[in-house]
Amino acid sequence: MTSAKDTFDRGLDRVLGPIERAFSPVANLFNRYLGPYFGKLNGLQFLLLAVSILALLTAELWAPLVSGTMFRTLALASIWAIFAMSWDIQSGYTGYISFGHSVLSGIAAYTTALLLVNVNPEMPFVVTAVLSVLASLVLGLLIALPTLRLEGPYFSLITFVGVLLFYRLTTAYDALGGIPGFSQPEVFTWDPVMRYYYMLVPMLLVALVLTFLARSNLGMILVAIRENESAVSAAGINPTKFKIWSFVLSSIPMGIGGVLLVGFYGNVDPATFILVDNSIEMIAMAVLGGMGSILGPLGGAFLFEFLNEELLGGQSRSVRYMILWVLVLLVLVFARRGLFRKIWHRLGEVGGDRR
Amino acid sequence: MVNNGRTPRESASNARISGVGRRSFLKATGAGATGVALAGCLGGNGGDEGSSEGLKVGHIGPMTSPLGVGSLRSANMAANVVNEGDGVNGGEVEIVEGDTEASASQAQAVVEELIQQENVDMLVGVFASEVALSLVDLTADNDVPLLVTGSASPQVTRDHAGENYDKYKNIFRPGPINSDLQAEAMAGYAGYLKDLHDWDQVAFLRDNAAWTTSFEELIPGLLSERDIEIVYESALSIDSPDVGSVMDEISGTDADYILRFFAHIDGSSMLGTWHDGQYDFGIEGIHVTGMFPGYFEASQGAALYETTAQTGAAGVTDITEKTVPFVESYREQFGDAENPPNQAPMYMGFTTYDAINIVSEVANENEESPRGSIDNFVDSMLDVSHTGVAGTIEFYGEDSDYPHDLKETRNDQGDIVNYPVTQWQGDGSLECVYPEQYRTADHVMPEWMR
Repeated sequence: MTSAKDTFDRGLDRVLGPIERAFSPVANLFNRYLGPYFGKLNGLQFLLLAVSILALLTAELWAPLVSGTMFRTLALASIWAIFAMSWDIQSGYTGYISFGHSVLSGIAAYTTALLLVNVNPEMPFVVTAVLSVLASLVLGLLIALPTLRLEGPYFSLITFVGVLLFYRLTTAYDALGGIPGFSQPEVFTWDPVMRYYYMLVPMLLVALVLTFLARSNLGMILVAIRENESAVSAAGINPTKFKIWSFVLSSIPMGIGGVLLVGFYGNVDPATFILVDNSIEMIAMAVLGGMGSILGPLGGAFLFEFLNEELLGGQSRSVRYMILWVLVLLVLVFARRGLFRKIWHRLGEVGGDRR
Repeated sequence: MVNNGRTPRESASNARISGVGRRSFLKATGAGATGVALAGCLGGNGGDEGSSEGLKVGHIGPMTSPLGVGSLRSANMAANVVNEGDGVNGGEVEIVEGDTEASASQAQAVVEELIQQENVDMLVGVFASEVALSLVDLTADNDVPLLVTGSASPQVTRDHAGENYDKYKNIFRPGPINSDLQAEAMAGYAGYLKDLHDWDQVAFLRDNAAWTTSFEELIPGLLSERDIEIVYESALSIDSPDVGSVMDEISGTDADYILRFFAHIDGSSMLGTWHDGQYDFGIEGIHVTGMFPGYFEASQGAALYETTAQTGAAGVTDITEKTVPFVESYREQFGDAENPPNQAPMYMGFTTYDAINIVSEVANENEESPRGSIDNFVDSMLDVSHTGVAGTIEFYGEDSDYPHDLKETRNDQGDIVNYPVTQWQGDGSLECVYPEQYRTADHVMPEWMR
């Protein structure tokens, strides 16, 4: 007996099959040289990836056709994609869900601001950026060392309390800027096109590195921790050590994203950088795209921002977020692996079991 | 950004503009050819330099607040008046709305859209100083005139055009007077209270925000010159002001009145506590929430005896011959509107109305859009002496401490008069109590203090 779904699946295979075959030679070339590092692709997956990257790089040609604010949306999406991927390499891979990741980008932003305000207003960007990312790493380790030894929900609760604590800290003391924050940092540029590329290039590099790491033995151990931590211990591998590594891998790009967000707004304040909503938004993006896949959260971030900034642009903030949260809920219930992961694997199934 | 101001912000969010919205653009691009045809006037860096006919005005303000609503309505009133006359350079004044949601990041998004997509000739509005400060660089880089009509921080002018005139000459403030000048005006008012009631001990409270920095710096000196003593001082967190304990502490002093500067903080709970407890001091100063025309009813009478300074004096007195007719016309048009304010716009409306009239005149005189030549625009603006609904409007020039800020007007004694003070009196009537030339009633102290 054939169901409607089977019929649809066969129809889809029939349509996509020839495209897959057309691109499989070039995909095979990719698989031979880069496959061991970044995973193997079939023709369709290769095509999707190539078209996506090409579209992002050539946004100058098409973004203005979509809307006058598309560059802004794409720039914001690039920054948030870094956050979502960073969250994913730690939480999505190990299963230790962090509800307080925004403190990591926040500390980078506050480091930049505090250096400019208290040390030297003319401090070069390279110096503030490096020190800020370092601050994220240090804070990441500070959170990871004591907490990741714990199992179960304690890690999540501690990160959650951490972000609440940090938020209050920034508003409790005038030296930390209070609600208005600091406006001393400068934006990179007001030119929307240049600004987009400033955000896009680091994002693509972060995606490349994280995909590589996720495909390495390290990534496999992180997934193994998520699936069965005792088995990992039994295999003679110390899971705590690798959980801490995942936090290191997460903190550095979180710091980079924080620095970029400062360059986007030219202002550092608790609501933009620390607020717990930001941490939840990162999770939402990862969920939409597909947790535990790096590129899924990247796609999720772009989808989330496009919906939020462009498609729902006419709605009030409350309505927009209400719709977005309903969408996240639907994905959690009906497509738990995430939209992009689902599409990715469906494409992978075309033309046999090559993946 | 190179300003020293501070910028409050919600997490990144989005532009919302009435009229030609983004969704219609998305639909248009979906339709294919239409999208391509539109592409020429979208995106890019800065786009065209405004339009040659008419005047397209981007109005920016918090549209969830009656302050923003009143200002937008006033902008439309000004547009109608100009359009019923000769229009601007053969075209009409068109108002495009941008909602800042009182957030700097939102304001940036909205203004980028207004400049790059809507291609406006000028921007008018902005309530929070933090928001204004976050827009100075963006508008300066695009050479779009920004007429600030709601924010008072002197940083907007002093720290920008005051330091780099060529870069920031696009920014004008037709009102209110900046908070350095407001501080002086309020000190003059404190002198009046001292003469009238012998009140010479003050509890000094303010929002902990950019616009009150001037009060922090100047009020102590200005009061001490008038032999008025500050017996209590506190800057309250705009996030979670601890009003109760402040009231208790003040009641332990000999303060004759609280001189408070609240724009972000809603002082209503303070008024309620004060009224119910019949505290032995008055409540004076600036309270933006209290400027809401229906505030007496909204506070169920707790606002009785409170005062606030406000540009335009809520239209209860003839500041110029245009003031009362303007407010009457507002009431006629919006008296039954669903959203407040119904009786009069709040102060931003007065200044926004004047701003659009002034720029329309200037554009007609120059026979070009304000963005046509920013230098011509600036030159003409500096020659302006406009009798508006909020008073006479002239701007400080390049060499002043506050380039392009509204000049204060002074009486024969040298007191600043274009920042009048109103008080809720009797059965809820709003009276102008200061300065003398606009006074409709003397200030009264709370009945329980008499």
